[in-house]
Amino acid sequence: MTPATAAAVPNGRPPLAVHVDLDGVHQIFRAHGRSYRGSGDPIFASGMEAMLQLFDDARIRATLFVIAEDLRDSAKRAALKSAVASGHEIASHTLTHPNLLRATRAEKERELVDSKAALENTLGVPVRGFRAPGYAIDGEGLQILAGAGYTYDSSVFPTTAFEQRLGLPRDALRRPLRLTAFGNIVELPLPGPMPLGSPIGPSFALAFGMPAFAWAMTRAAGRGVPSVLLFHLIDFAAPLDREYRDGAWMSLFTLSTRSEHSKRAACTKMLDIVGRHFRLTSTQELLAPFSEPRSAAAAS
Amino acid sequence: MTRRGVHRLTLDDLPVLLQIQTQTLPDTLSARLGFRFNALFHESMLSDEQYLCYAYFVDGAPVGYLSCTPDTQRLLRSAVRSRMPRYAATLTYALFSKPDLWGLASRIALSVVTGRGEPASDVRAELLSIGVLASFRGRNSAPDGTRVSVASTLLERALESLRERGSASVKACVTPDDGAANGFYRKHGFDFRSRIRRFGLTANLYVRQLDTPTAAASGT
Repeated sequence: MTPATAAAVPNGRPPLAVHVDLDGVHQIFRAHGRSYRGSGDPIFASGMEAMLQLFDDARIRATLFVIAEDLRDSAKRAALKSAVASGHEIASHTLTHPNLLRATRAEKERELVDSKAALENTLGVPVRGFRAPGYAIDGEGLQILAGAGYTYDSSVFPTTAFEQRLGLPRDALRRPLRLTAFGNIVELPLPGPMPLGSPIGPSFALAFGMPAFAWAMTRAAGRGVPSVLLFHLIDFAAPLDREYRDGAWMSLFTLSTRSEHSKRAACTKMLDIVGRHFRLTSTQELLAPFSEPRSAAAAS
Repeated sequence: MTRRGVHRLTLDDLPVLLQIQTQTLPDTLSARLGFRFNALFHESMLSDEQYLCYAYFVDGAPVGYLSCTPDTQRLLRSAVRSRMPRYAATLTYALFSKPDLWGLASRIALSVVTGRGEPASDVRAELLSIGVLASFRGRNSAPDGTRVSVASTLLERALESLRERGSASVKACVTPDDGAANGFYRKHGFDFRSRIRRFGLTANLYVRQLDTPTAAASGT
């Protein structure tokens, strides 16, 4: 094992960091080619409140992936400052939540560089991590991230698409690793994939049921490697008013098919399942092996 | 402070090896057969005790690597045998997507199976590949200005391992038009033996006795 790969945990529970993508209602609708006709951002407002309460009760310090355009909204800005005060880490989820695979290099640079600067300047905390909207990252995006001063990315999971984009076999994408061919950025891969090509996560479980989630997380823990559990705000948020759901498709993608109460119960159960197999920790602990390479003397 | 060191790569380090190889030697024979074949090839190599692969790390990131073996024929046969069905499937897929590589693949397969075409068969140990990032080549080119030769350090480590495993001499095949690589081997005590054809490609064959370290080698 070298400083460029994370070690497996032979005995005991491997570490796991909790991440949350803070996609609001406008970004979700936009990603599906629609626009939200209601006012405000009910997913962000109700989701943040429920999420912070749940994590506070469970004593979890998560990493929140923020879309930097949300900083323009004073209510969202206040909620984010409150999250920072509670000890949660802030990371970037781009400036405007575009599909980076369709963006030019200049557009990618703007999304990745400007979002980091905006988050750091407004919230007063260092931004080290990044996740691409829709997990759409490629080699060029990773190089830009490294050049912009990010320490880690967490957009990749073991699929054929990422095998081809990164030139690495699927099995190599099941544990944290340093992407030395892409600017030395550390990748914290998501566990997966689930059917439909998504990573294993609470959103999938809330839409399609808990047994698959429990089976997949047990299997992921069996590998003994550090991992990430990725929530989205829709996992905690109250359902949208029927009037503004824009059909069954958007009901599914905003998880408006479930009540806030049932989501909280399901998320609590998921954290319980995960806690039995993993040791919940911070993202910084997952990164620790990459910041402490062995000395030259000890190396050989 | 810059932290440097040489590590022997294990199977867990497969992504490290694949990435540094892609960065430094993107046109190796295995890489030309596609990334799936390349990954399988290196996975089978790293699983084999006969494969010695070292990487030079600077601040946690590899900047160069060198692979060698005390016995090339034995290594290739044992590595292929350990994953025969996957090799067959991956090679078939690779050749259907790249039919121009049929000739190359059949020559390699024939050589592994029969042992024919093995250059300098009296010398079993071989340096298989050595690659260093462009910004770390030469003695004074490290970004922090530290005087170090990554390639020489890796070579010394490899030769030491081969000596420990009982090898009395080692060979290396080098593309004739790669002036830097030919110069590197000559500087480190390798003698040009002959111009050979291997897997359908022309190469310069160099051999070095392992019990006679040279001034250049010991000084780097």
